[in-house]
Amino acid sequence: MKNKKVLFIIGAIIGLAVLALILEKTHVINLYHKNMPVASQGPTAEQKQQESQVNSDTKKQFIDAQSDDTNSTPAPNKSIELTAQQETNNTVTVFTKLPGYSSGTCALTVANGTKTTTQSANVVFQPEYSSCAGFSVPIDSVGKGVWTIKLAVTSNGAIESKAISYEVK
Amino acid sequence: MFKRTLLATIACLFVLSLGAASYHKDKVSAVTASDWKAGRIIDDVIFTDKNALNVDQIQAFLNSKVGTGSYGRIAGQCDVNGVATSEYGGGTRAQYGASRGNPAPFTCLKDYYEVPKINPGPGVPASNYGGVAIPAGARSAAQLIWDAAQRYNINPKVLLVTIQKESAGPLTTDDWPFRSQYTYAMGAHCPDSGPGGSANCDPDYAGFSIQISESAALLRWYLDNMSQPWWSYKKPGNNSILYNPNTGCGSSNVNIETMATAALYTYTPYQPNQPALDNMYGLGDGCSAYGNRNFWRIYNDWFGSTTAINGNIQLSTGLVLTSPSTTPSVNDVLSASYEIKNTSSFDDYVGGVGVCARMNGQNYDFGFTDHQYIPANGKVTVTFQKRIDVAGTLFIFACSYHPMLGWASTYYPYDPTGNLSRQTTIQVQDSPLVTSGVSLSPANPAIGQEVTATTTLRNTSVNAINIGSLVIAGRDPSGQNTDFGIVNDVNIPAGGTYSYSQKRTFAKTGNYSFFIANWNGVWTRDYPHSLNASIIRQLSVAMLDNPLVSAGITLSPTTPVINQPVTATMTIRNVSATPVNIGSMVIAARGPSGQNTDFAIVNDVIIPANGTYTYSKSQTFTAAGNYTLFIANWNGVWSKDYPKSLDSTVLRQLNLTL
Repeated sequence: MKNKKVLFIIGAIIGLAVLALILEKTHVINLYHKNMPVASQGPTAEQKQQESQVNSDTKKQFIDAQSDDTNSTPAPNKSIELTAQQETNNTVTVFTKLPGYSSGTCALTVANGTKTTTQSANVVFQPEYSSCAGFSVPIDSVGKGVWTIKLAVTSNGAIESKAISYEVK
Repeated sequence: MFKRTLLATIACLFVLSLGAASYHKDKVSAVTASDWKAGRIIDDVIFTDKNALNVDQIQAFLNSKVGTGSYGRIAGQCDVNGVATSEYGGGTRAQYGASRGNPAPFTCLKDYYEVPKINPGPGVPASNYGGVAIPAGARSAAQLIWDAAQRYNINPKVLLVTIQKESAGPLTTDDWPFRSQYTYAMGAHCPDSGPGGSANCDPDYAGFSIQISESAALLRWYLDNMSQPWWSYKKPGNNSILYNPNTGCGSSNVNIETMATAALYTYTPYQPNQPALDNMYGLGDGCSAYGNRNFWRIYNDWFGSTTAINGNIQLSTGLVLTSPSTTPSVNDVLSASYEIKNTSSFDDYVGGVGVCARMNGQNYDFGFTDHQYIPANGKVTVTFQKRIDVAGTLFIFACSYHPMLGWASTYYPYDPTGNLSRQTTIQVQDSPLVTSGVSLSPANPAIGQEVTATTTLRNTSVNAINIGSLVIAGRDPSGQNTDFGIVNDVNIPAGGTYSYSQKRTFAKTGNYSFFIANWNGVWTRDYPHSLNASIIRQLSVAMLDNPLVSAGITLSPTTPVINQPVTATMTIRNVSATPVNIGSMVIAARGPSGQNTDFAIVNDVIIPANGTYTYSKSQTFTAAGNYTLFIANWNGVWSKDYPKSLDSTVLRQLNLTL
């Protein structure tokens, strides 16, 4: 009788260990891994073939485009968009959108009557549109009123500028 | 019966296992459209784990991936000479390449070296592409990837995946890449300003090395600036995200959950539409965009999950130690704190967080809070204080425990910036210290003489300290206790000193030992410690007799002749606080034939307290020859040795020739 009890206990322990092992290996539970992978198996052969075909086609298009391109980069279609927004903390945030720009520097001049203030920042690249890395102008710097906000962007040796009026109340 | 029960139990467990395994089976297949969460492409902690791979591991990864892509010839091998048949027709790859202006040999990414292009500018940097020698100063692709990862705190796996999603070929797996595939491999500084929204790359950023570094720099810039008020790109929260550069394809709102996901959407501002997701490894429709889908899919295929356990629990400020000074003292209170945040939109369980410390391997933890929760988008400051009671180098660190991570102090809560400090070290100086060691006044005391023992302690802490009882203990020549007075409840003010000063007299001559002793539950001779090694903690003193001959025999004149009056003098001192009667004193003399020629005896010589007695007598010698003069005392018995001399220079005997 006693031997049977021991046998039962040993069997139950082995069973639980097997269960834990199966659950761990199948990633139902995770006893020691830092990350829980979403996918622990790679794509199927069919998916790999599909991916290869897409990549191969893309490379072919790339090579063809290079040949057609005659090594000249199309002239970028650059523009400057400028908006402003009065914040609750007595500042005005100036937002910029610079489609077509890849790099450069921005110079901001804010004028209100005889008072002026300037700030500068680098161009931050983003494929849709780049922008100037941040203009936050304290209202006290030129006072309330109708501001003339002028942005000059220097890129590849060329300077483009744009100005807007913005009323600060 | 038991056997049947056992078998039934094991069978049930097995069935349960299979059930659980079959339930989980869907979760372990390659990622599918249903796994895609547009708002959580990758967690910040994974995205910014710059140490995920070292250079050797990156190189090994590139070695393993080449030839596994589009029509790869042999996995792990580069078709350097283009011997395989071109999948694009035109004969071999070498022949096809030559016809397209890129003759063999081809140089695969695993073998590629380039001189790093540090600054934007015209031209493509020198490389070993096409079988040329590795140029001076060139670095391997693996090294360039690792360098960028380290410099900008971006996971090198992210950069490898970005190469795969951005480059033609893609370079990572291509076993016969063209030179031009390296030029804008990451799509960095390629505005969508070309025809039909196509990439229009800035030639100043041409070159594999600057593409890798600029890609990492842009991602880091996006991460670091998306909370700025002027930021107009994607950031955590609700964002309208296009499906395609063609705005006519529409957009949808995406609630971005992680900064890393926002950075990816800033780098590639399009989300996959349903056809792109439904055909995960292929193409969707005319409105599909694949950049972020491919990033997520490739990362999962290559490196596993893009989400981490509690990836939303992050450090928002590093560990800050507040100390009364840069070199705090024992008994000072140190305070350490850091802030953690929950970037998710749900209340989350952090686990245990605290401030732990070690000194010489000993636990010196400040405190720990288990079962910490942070509300949705909330912050918690973890702060603990500790009064330090031991001097030494104290290593303090933010410590954490999570049931799924175990002790995870080195990386959890996560730090996507890679710049926040989790630990600090500070030197705790000892206090109080003995700044002036044991000193006796007089330095050479005598029995019966009042002796003052002093020592000084200094407390450099900003807090007062009570060190218990302090004494300058003494032991006489036979080891008996001759302590100076014990001072109890010695309280040393903050930044102040305490001067111990006690007086007593001693009865025995001989060598005494004096030392600093402290009682604070137990007697110790080591506490408080000394400021430096020159501080005298223990003093050995020879206790002198009393009274003593302080000035020996002198004659006036010093070289007398016969029949000339001669005055002999000597001085005895008494350093005790009471007068001493030493009986009779004489400067005795013996003539050439040994006859007594003493100077006059003085009886009942009383030396006043803290005073001296000077014997001075005159006589005339009448016979020539050699004389011996010596000090003698009668106090019941004649003695030539009493009183003793103060020191060896005192002349107790004098030979005189007349």
